[in-house]
Amino acid sequence: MITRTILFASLLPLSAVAQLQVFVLNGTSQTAVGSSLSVGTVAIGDTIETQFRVRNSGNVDVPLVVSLSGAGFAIQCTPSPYVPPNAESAFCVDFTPTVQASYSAILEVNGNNISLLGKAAAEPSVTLSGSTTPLLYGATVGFGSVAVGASQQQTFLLSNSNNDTLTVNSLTVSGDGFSGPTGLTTPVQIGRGQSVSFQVKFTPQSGTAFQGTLTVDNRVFILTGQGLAAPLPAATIVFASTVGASAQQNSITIPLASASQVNGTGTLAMAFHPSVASVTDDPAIQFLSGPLRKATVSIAAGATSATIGGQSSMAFQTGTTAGTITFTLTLENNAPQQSSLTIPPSPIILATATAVRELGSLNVAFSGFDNTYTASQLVFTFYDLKDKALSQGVIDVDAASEFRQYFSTTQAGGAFALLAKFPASGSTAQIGSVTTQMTNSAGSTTAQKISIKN
Amino acid sequence: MKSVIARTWIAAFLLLPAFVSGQPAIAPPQLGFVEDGARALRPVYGLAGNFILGPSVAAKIVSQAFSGSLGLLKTNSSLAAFDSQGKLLASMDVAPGPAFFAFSPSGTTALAYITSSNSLVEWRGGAFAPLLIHYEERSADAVLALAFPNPFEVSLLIQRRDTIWELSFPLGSVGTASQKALIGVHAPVLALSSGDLVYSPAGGIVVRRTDASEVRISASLPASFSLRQMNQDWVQLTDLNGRARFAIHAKTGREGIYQLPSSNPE
Repeated sequence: MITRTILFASLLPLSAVAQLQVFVLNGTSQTAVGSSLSVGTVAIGDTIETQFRVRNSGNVDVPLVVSLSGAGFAIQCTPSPYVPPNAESAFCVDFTPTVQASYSAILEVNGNNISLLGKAAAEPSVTLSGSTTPLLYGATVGFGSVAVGASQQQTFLLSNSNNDTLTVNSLTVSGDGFSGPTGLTTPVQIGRGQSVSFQVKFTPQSGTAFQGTLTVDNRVFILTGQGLAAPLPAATIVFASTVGASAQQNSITIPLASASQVNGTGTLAMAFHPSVASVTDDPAIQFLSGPLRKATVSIAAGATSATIGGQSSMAFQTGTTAGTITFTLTLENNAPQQSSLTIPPSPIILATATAVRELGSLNVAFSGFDNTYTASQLVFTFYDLKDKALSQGVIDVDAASEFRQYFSTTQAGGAFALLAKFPASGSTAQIGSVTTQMTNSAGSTTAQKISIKN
Repeated sequence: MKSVIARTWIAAFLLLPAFVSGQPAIAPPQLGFVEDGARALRPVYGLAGNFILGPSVAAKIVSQAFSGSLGLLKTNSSLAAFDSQGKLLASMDVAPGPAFFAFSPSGTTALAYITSSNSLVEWRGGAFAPLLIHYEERSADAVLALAFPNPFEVSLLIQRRDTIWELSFPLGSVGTASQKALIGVHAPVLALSSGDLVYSPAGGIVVRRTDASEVRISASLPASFSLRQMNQDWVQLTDLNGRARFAIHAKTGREGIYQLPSSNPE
């Protein structure tokens, strides 16, 4: 029921009414309107516009009050509030049927009632399967909430309750997330009393609201649906090796508890908390590709594991400082989870050792790491060519201050290379080998016996 | 005599913080130099499994190698020598394109073979000098590596059909050229200054020692890569289609392959 009052009817003087006359505009000619007017027949969804003129044949301004009541009709062009003497005021009424039926409405002009008649052209009704109520033109068809990646299908019926066969020439679906129609090819003829069906599918790709349209010839229906972002499956941080130790290259994978139904992203962040007093970080602890300590995590729909920095696994280094490396995995809509690798303090590990006989000296060089930063005692034991320890060949050195000085300035973590030079006068040809024992707060370590080379 | 020596040590023993040859007694361990993903030359510090890249010391690198004490690098138009600190020692103009390098066992003398000009340059005694090479290129040959087995000889490792050959040439006017097939060796291949060969069959890396014994390192490797010496015992493996860089430890008993950092600050 549409009711529209254009002006303040209660204020109209009765004397003015008789001065007004209503006409309908037919092209360029005008015809006086009687008590009823047929606006014509139009297809459902289409509009017929009827132009009216209200003429004032008097010699004073006449207030104009226009109202309309009746489904399918609406005043579209607003008349002026007054009609000047010997002048006209114009307004228009649109007729837009939404179902196949005959329509009528009352147009009231300053108290004069005019019956407006209209008719919808014969077209098949559109109903949802399982419903007997035809959809009105412009009606909204909801597909409900559907998980991202899943689908919801609706079946529509086109029914002909008319006496003649009807033809549907065009059937289209538009809008992201909506697809179809399937099950019916146009043009299609529908015989008297017959129905045909077709399907429209809603497949959301994100957790947002979707809207589309179904158009049956010139009738448009609104399609709506809500995408529901399925939660990402539980993800786990898995280390290739769970043994925490310094100077290791390890890697991480992120398997999922089940195949993911949705795409997702997140981050894998790495943090290091040294257990060595006064040490704040070890720059060698890092991912081996991409940003040093923060990698992008991606999950593809259907995948059973995440990618890290675009790779199926991410390699990282454990550095040469005792402490705890913590990885934090943060995924969309999931609580962050952490997994840690503890690097325990260890005795000094030597990676290389060489001893060289030079003119006037013996040089012993070795490299390794002290992940406690507490190296102190060095004990060098020299052996003769028969592998017998020389009686005065044990040299004990407290190198704690030198190591403290080095560790306080280096950017190499606990890694170090040390060159010990033993000046000697006289022949060193009888000295065949040397061992080195190094001590830190976690214990002592002894290097394999090193042959002294020329 | 023995006791005299021992007494001398004790009396004369010094544990550095004093300096030896201008180098601190305790320093970050240096593993050599690598060419990073941006074609910059950078020192590598650390240990096996724990690598730290230092700041760039040269850019626009086409080829490079480091013996442990001496480095050679090739840009598009020049050949340069650098020391263990990354300091430029000398350079000379050469033909464009890549070069192959080889070092003497001591690491102080080196050869460079410039592919595009089929020319050989020697680094000896602190200077470059061109050398005559008696190698006549064949279109079917592809030079894969250079070797410097002794002070009087240079070898080119070439791919000829399905086989890799070692062609040896005298460095002076005296001597004879020879060639031998390196059976079982697959490209890419690198001849280390120790005489060991590093090559790549499917699914890994093999280090062939001078006594013909082999150690295989299983690894998942890039589809296309090159090998360069980054120290006496280390070889850089460069992914030719990406930024990934690896380090192969070729030292006897310590063989392994590691990924070099290619990270960048976030």
